[in-house]
Amino acid sequence: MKIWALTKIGLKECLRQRVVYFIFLISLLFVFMAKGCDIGTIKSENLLIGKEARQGISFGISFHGIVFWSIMLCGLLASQALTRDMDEGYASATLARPLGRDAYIAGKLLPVIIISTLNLTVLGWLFCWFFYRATGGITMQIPLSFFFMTLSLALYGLMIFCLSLFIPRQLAPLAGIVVYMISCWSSLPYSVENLKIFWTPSVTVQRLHLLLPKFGDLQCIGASILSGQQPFDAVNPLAVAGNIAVYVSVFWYVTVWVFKRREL
Amino acid sequence: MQFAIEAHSLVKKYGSITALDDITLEVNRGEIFGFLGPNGAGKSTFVKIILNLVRATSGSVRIFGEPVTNVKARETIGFLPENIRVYPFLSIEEFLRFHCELIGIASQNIKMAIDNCLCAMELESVRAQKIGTLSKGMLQRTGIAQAMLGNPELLIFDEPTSGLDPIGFTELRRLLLDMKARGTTIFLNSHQLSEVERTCDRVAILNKGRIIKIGSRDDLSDRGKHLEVTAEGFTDSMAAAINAFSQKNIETEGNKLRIYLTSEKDSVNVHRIIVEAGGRVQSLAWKSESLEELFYRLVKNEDMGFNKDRP
Repeated sequence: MKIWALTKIGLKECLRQRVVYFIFLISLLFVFMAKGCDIGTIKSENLLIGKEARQGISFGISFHGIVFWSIMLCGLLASQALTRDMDEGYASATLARPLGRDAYIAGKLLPVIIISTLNLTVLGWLFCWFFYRATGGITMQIPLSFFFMTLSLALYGLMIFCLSLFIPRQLAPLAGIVVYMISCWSSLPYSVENLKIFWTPSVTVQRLHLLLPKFGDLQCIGASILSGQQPFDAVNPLAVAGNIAVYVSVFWYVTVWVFKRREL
Repeated sequence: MQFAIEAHSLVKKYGSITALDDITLEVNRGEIFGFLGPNGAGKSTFVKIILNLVRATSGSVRIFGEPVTNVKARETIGFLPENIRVYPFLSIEEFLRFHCELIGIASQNIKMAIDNCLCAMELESVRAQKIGTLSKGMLQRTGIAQAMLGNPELLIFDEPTSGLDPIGFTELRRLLLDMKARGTTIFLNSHQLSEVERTCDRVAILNKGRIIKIGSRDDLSDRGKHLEVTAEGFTDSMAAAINAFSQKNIETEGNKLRIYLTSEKDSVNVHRIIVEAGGRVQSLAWKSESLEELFYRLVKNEDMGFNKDRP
């Protein structure tokens, strides 16, 4: 009940921020792109890419665009949620109540994840709707691919919470985006079949892929599901699940540990 | 006996700065305890340690026997921070509901709890008003209402009179006394010395992180009791003679003398010394030091480094 009380306030606070609507509108552009924006003809070396493949490209761009902006939204909200309460003095009046600091963090984190997931869900359903309008069919691939991305959002939100306790809150989402982009980049040679032919990852890339949070692998899983490919051919699901579990635990415990020692 | 607040050898350091230096104090159940001190004395730091918002460098604090680091200790506390900061987009009612939920008041009792506090602070007519639009005084009333939610056993008020008008002052005083009559312990951190003097049972004066005086209101007044003499023709030789049975040097202000005698009987001697040496006594009366005067004297003496009068 206490965590939910904080979550309700957090939801109101998030929904009052213009950035939520701004990012929703930007993401919406990517949905309209998937609706049937004709990208024209694409010629490869020896063949002309067909309509289905072109639609796949549109879908891919839309999917990655929506996920990227949802990640951005999650990062922006997460970077403010905890630190602004501390700076503005809201946290001290709340924590004077019988409420543990871990419960406080959970209550501040939940609205961030709920709002960014809601953003992703609404856009995902719009995506489904336009797909239905275009093809007359319903596929579970789209909601499933977006579902995988909610894991990414939760992990990302927690990471930004943690970072915002160590670096200025404006820089936390930027730092988060850098980690996210490097993670995506280091996943490419492992997940994209065409790249595997001519890119053998160096030791550094291998290490980055192994050690960074697997945002990239999650995104590749989502994209594979969306395009109707086998998502776990290229990516080891146990390694991804293990990586996420470890990082969620690390970010959570570090955030709680630091916040418990923070004087208000 | 279990105390409401029990601090033992409490020290708080911020780097090389000592904010609290070996604070030991007990606040009895059901009393109104005044905590006074100039700016930067460490009052707010002490309150924050009680609420576990700040960690003590060493020492311990217990609330009704429970260490402050336990969440359970805060179940009994209502807290009004100095310059309360509240989410401006909430209405007063939403804000109070939020705090009811944080306290853990059962959902069926929340409305009654809110109504009682709104009624006590005369906020019923503005219950739907957004906090961001409230005046400072109204915000302070909202903060007090929030602190009173759930009938806490211990109320900690940090500058409760801040922003209140004279009517608000009087109502707050009445409220504090009502709460006390119901058995609530009140810890009052305030600069309003007259308010503290009128409402508190016991007072502690803090300066530079140390308690320089602690005692009941009457006890503190008695200690400051002095003989005020208005005399003409007062000389240094008279002062030397009187100082022999005075606690400390005579304070003079024009033809007014302030003498801290060890015994009330010596007032006759003071009169005799002045008259025999050719002076003329116009008036002679016992005066008690007001809390404000005592506070000023103690803090000034402490700052000048010759306070021999420790608790």
